[in-house]
Amino acid sequence: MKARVLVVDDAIFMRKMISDILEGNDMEVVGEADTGTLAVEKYKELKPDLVMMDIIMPEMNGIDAVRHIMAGDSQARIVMCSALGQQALVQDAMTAGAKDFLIKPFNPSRVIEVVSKILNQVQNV
Amino acid sequence: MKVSDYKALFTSEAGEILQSLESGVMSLEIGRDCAACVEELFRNAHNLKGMSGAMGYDHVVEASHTLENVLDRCRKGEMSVSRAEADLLLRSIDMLRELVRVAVDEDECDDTDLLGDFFVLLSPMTTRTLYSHPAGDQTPSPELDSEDINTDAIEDAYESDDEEPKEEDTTTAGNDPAVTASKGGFGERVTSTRVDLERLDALMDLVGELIISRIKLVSLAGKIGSQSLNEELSSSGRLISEIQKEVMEARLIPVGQVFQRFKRLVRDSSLALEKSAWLDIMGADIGLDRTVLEAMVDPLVHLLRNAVDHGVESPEERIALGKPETARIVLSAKRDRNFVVLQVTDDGRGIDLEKVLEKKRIGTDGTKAELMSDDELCRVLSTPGFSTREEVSRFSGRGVGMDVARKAVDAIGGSMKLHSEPGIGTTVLLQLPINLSIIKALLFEVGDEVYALPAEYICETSRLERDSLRTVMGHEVIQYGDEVIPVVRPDDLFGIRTSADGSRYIKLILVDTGNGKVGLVTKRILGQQDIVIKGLPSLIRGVSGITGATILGSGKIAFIWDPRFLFKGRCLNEPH
Repeated sequence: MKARVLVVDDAIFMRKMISDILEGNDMEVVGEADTGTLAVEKYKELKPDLVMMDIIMPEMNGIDAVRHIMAGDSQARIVMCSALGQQALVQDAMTAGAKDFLIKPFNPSRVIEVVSKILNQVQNV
Repeated sequence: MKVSDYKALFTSEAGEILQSLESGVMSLEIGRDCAACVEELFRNAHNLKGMSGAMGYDHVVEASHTLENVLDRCRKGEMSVSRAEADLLLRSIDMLRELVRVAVDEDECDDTDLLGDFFVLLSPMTTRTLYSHPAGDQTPSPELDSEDINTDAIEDAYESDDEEPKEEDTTTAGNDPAVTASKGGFGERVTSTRVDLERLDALMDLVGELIISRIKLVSLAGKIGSQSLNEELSSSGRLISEIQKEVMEARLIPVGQVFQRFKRLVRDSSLALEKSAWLDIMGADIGLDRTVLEAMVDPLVHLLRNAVDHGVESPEERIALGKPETARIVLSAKRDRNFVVLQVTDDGRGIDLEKVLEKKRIGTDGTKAELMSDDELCRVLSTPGFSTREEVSRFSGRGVGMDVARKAVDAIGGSMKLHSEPGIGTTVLLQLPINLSIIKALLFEVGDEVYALPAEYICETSRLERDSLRTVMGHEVIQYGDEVIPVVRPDDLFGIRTSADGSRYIKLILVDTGNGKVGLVTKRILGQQDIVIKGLPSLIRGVSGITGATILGSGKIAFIWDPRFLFKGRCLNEPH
């Protein structure tokens, strides 16, 4: 069965790009969100296998969204998508429970590598 | 999917971001919603950087990174934005826009200098964190154990400087990049989609053909006289109108897309005049046909400049008058049945009626300024070349702008109104048709041909006794209520030969040209109908008085007359 992914980013462009990478590699993007608040809602509703989470977003940032999602589902698998210059924020996100991170601009093979690793860990469990 | 496939999406979103940056800086300048505004600005610069990175537009990345740093300083409260800073930021956004354009167009020109200028411009506001050349790839974090956060790994990943080739081999499937609705086939989540305007135009053309084809069917059915056929036709008529309505709505563009850029215009022109003015936009979501919206850009530029130049007082004057130092100009849009009403309102000094009258030399016959109606004032002001800066200072130029606006509004079948109160401000109101492709028209016969007039100009149609025509100073007129209305005959206008009939009655269409009423003599009035406007072939495009043509059910062509031309010089409408 295809892995179900929730893509969170406030830029349409970024959502499109990452969705294309995932869908091109046999994953299913089941939902998108452009704010942290919406991401938390959609997570509850869709129960995806994986979340690709941007950090800088309106309403609620990605780190707080990670905290909220983890509070509701400690098994949630979230990969942070950050830009250069956000080391400290990524550390915060990982402390909050994010499983891994990717740095924009995305390299498709790197995206797939990280995502597959996280998804496989789950299956092994 | 290749990077170039994302270009359209990039261009459109980058354009929105730049627009939002510009208007955010202006909000910041006048101290509106500071914290939220700075956050949004920062996010926008940040997103532009991320997107440009993905596209491989390195110069845009570097510039937006610098801007992001500056905005981050604002965010942290290390710096505030007053006029000087806003100026720098706005100019930097202009440069950023140009850098985006060069990158997107793959312009051959070298924009290194521009990027250099960008850095120099923002240097007073930047800290020393210049952007290191973007790493082409986020080097894999050395086996990061997700359970055990390894901060070194994060640092390593960020500091890596590998020059691995970028994203060219993006091997992904995907849909048309233009489609930006959410993915995944969850119907309820797909809330919007981007459709190429050409496609919508093509759809509109097809709807037009469909309407014409139905008109033909109706006329054939009339000959056959079958009840069930007629019923079916009337139900298809309803469906076609529904489709027409939907397609027309889909073609509408939110006015905000164009209006946002006027904020900058108002700011810059008020600064140039050492004034302070702020533009508020209301009804940004109201949709207007693209053609109409494009046609309104120039007039609005004139009206807004006028408002700043002639309406808004100097800051000192405003303070003395007890008004806020910064003038407020409101550009609003609202829907009113089949029209959109655009309104430009300023809280400036209003129009000096005495001076207008003086200039028009109307005052000499004792007309009092306060007796002049808004409509008359509007007409006087929009007389071509009514005023120039050299001749009259306070309200000069308003005429020039009003003239341009009047012509543009007229050309698309709209109307313009003005209201001014001394000391309180001026409002200019533009009533515009929502679309220009399908209109209601009155069809009538002159000679052996059928013609059309846009229905909104028609007051009424009537059958009059020939004897009721009078002649005043060599012109035929009729008495209509209290008004004396000139009568025109198509023979005079186009040299259409109309055979004299001996009937006691004449059929008259009473037309309100916007500058006064006239009566048009016709052979037969056929009735009102939706018509699809077709452009004229180049051979006859220049003919005055004809704005377009339509195809009738019979397959014959009917020209659409321009009421304003037809009655030029024939109206008894000169203000006395």
